[in-house]
Amino acid sequence: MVMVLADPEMLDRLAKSMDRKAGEIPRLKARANTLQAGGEVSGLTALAAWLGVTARELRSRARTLRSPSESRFDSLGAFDLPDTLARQGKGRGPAAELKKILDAHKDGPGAHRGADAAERRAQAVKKYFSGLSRAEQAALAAADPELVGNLDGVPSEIRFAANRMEIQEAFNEESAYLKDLAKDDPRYLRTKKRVDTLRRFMSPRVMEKKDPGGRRVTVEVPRQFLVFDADYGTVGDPKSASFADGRVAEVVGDLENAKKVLLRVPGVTSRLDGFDEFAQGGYDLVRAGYGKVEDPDTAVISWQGYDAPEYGDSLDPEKAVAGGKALAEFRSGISVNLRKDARVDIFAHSYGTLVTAKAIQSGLKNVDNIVFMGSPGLGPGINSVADLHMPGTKFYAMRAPEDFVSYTEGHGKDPADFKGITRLATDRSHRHSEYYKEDSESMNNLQRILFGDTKELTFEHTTLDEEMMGAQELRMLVAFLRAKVPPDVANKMGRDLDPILQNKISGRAGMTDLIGPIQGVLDKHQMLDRVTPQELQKELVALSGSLTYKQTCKAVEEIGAPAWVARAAGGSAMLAATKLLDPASHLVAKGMELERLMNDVGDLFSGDSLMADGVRTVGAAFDLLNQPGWSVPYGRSGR
Amino acid sequence: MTGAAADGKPVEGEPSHELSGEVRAVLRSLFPGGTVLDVPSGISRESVALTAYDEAEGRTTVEITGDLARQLRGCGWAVADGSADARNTGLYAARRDVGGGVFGVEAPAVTFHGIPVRGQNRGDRPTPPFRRTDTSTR
Repeated sequence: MVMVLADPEMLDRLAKSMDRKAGEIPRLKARANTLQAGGEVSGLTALAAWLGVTARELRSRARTLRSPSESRFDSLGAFDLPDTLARQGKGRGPAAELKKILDAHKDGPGAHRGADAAERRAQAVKKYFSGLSRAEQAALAAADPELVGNLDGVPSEIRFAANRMEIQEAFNEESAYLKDLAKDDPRYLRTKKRVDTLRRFMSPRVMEKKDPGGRRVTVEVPRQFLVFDADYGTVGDPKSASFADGRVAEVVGDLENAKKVLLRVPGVTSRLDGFDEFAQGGYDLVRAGYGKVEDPDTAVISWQGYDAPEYGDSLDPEKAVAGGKALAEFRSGISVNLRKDARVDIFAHSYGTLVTAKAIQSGLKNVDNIVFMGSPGLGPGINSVADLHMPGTKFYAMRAPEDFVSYTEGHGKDPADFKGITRLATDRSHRHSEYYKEDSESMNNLQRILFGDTKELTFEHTTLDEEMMGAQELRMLVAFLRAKVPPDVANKMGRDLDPILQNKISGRAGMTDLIGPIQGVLDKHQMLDRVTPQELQKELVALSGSLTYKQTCKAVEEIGAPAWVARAAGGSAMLAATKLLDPASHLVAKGMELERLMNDVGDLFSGDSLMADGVRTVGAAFDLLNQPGWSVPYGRSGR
Repeated sequence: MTGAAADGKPVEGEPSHELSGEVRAVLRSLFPGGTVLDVPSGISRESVALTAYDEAEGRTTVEITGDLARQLRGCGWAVADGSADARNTGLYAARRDVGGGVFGVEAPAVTFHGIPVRGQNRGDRPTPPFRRTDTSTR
C-alpha cells in the first residue's frame, strides 16, 4: 500500500499484536530462567511495559480516529496556525470586507467573466489576505470556513484549515444521520462509506520523504483539502444516497513552492464517498516517481471539482460544460498562489477528458502538458490537436486494450487517434480503470511526464483490431446508432445501451445477440422509426461479417498459414457468417412471419436467443420450403 | 479433435459437441491433407465455427463447393446448392437432430458457421483463445 492513512482498524490490530507479544514475555522469561539465562533477557520486562503503554496509546488514538471531534481552533492548530484572534471572534470584520471584494468581482453585465475574471478575483483576494497577519487570516477562516476554504487567492494553508472545519461539520451531520439509518436501508451503505471517507479526511496520512541527510523518513501530516463542499452538485443515485455528490480537491505536496504542479481530473461516478480511491492515484504518482518517496518539488491536486455524471447520463455533455468552466477558472485562480515558474500539467481520465476539452473551450490556459486517458471523445468538432488551439501545450493520449469508453466514442473521436497527438504505451493496464496502476507502463509514462523525463517515454501504435477483436465493429455500431438518433435521445439511451455493449466487450454476447436488446432500447425510447429492425439487422450482419473475417484470418495466421491462405479463410468465414445471418435476419425482422415459421419448425431447431431463432428459420428453409434446387436426402420431419 | 471438460476447458480427443464433430469429419474428408481448426465466432454465443484449408489445394472455389456438396450429402446432410457459382459459394446445410448452418468457400479454404440443436452441449465449446484442433500437412 502506498498511501498509508492512520486507519483505526489498523491501529487496533497493531495494538492487539503488541498485547500478544507482551503476553508472551513472562513465558519467555520463565524459560530463560529455567535455562539459567535470566540475566541475559532482563530487558524483556521493560519491553513488555513499553508494548503495553504503546498498545494503550494506539487504542486511544483509534478511538479518536473513529469519531473525530475537533474544534475550529484545533483545525487551525493542525496546520500550525495561531488561534488567538479566532478565539476572540475577530474574523467577522475581515469576512465582511472580503465579501465586499468578492461583490466587486461578481459576474454581471459588462463584468469580466471566465478564466481571466477568476484570476483577477483571485489576485484581489490574495492582495487582501497579504494585508492580514496570520492570526487574522486564521480568524477569518474560522469565521467563514465555507467561503474561505474554496476561495482561490487565499493562502493554501488557510484554505486547508478552513476546509478541515467544514469536513468536521459534514462528518458530525452525516454520522448523526447514519445513526438513525437502519442497516437494511438502501441508503445505509453509501452513507456509511461517505462517513468513513470524511473520517479519513480528518485523519493524518503517512508521508515518506528524505530528510536533509538523505535518509528516508516517515512522518504523519494532515491531509490538505483545497476544495471541499459536501453539498455541491446533484444526488447521483437518490435510491442509495441522501447527500449530494459533493466536490473535493486534495493537494499532495507543497503547492505554493512546487516547481511542478499536476491537476488530475476524474470521470464518471466521481463522488465524495469514493474520493479516496481517486486520490490514491495522486499519492502513487508523486511518491513512486521519486525513489519511492514524495518529490518535494512536485504537488499533485486531485481535483474532483465538478458534478460528475453517473453512467446513465455520461453521454450528456452538460456536466462537462459546467465542469470545464469550473476547471478553467480553478486553473487561473490558483495560478496566483503558485510559483511564477511552476510547470502545470493536467492528467484527465474518462469523462474528465471531456471536461478538460470544455475547459479549453472556456479559456483554460498556461498548461504545459495534457494527457487524455480512456477518453470518450472531446466533443463535436475536436478531431485533432490543432482543433484544441493550444499551440504551447503538449498533448498526449492513452487507450488501454479493451477500454470500452475509448472504443465507443460516446462524445466524439478518440484523442488517441488524433493527428498531432503523442500516444503513450499502456502495457500492463487493461480496460478503463487501470491507467494509474502501479508498475504499469501507463503509470510509468505519467510519471515521466510529471517529472520531466520525457526522453524515456514509451509509445503505442496499435490498431483497434490489435487491441481487441471486435472493438472496431463496436465503434462502428455506436456511430451507426448515433447517426440515426437525435443527440438528446442518444444521451438518454446511453444508460440502457452501455450494459448491452459491455456484454459484447466482455465476450458474453456475439454481434447478433445484440439485436434484440438494442431493438428493445430503441423501442423504449420510441426510436424504431429512426432505426428500423431491418436497418439494425443489416448493420449487425455486416459488422458480424467483418468481425468474422478478421477473427478467422487471425486464427489461421497464428498457426502459421501464409497470409493469402488466411485471407481466403477469412473470406470463406465472412461468406458463411453473412449467409447464415442474412435469411435469418430477414425473417427475424418480419416478426410475424418468424413466429409462424418457428411454430412450424420448432422441433427441428430450438434455442433461446435471437440467433438461435434466426437459425431456426434456416432450418425452416430446409425443412419446409423444399424448393427446386434443394437436395434433401431424407423426408420432411414428421409433424 | 477437441472436447470440453466439466469446467468448460477444451480437452483433446473428444468432440466439443456433435455438430462440431460432424462438420470436422466432412472437412477432413474434403481436405485429407489439410488443416481443420475451431475458430471463434463473433456472431453469437451459440454458434459453432470451423475453418479448414489446404495451401497445396489445386481445386477452384467452384470445384471445392461441388465436392463439398457431394461430401455432405454422402454424410447424410441436407444441402441447398442450387446457386453455387464463382461469386456465390455458400452452401446451406443441415443435419437432422444435429444442427445446421452455412459452409462458405474461398479456395483453398472452407469455413462453417452454424448452430447445434439444443442439447448439443451448448456453451461447452472452446472459447478464444482458439486452438488448432486437427492438423496434418503434406
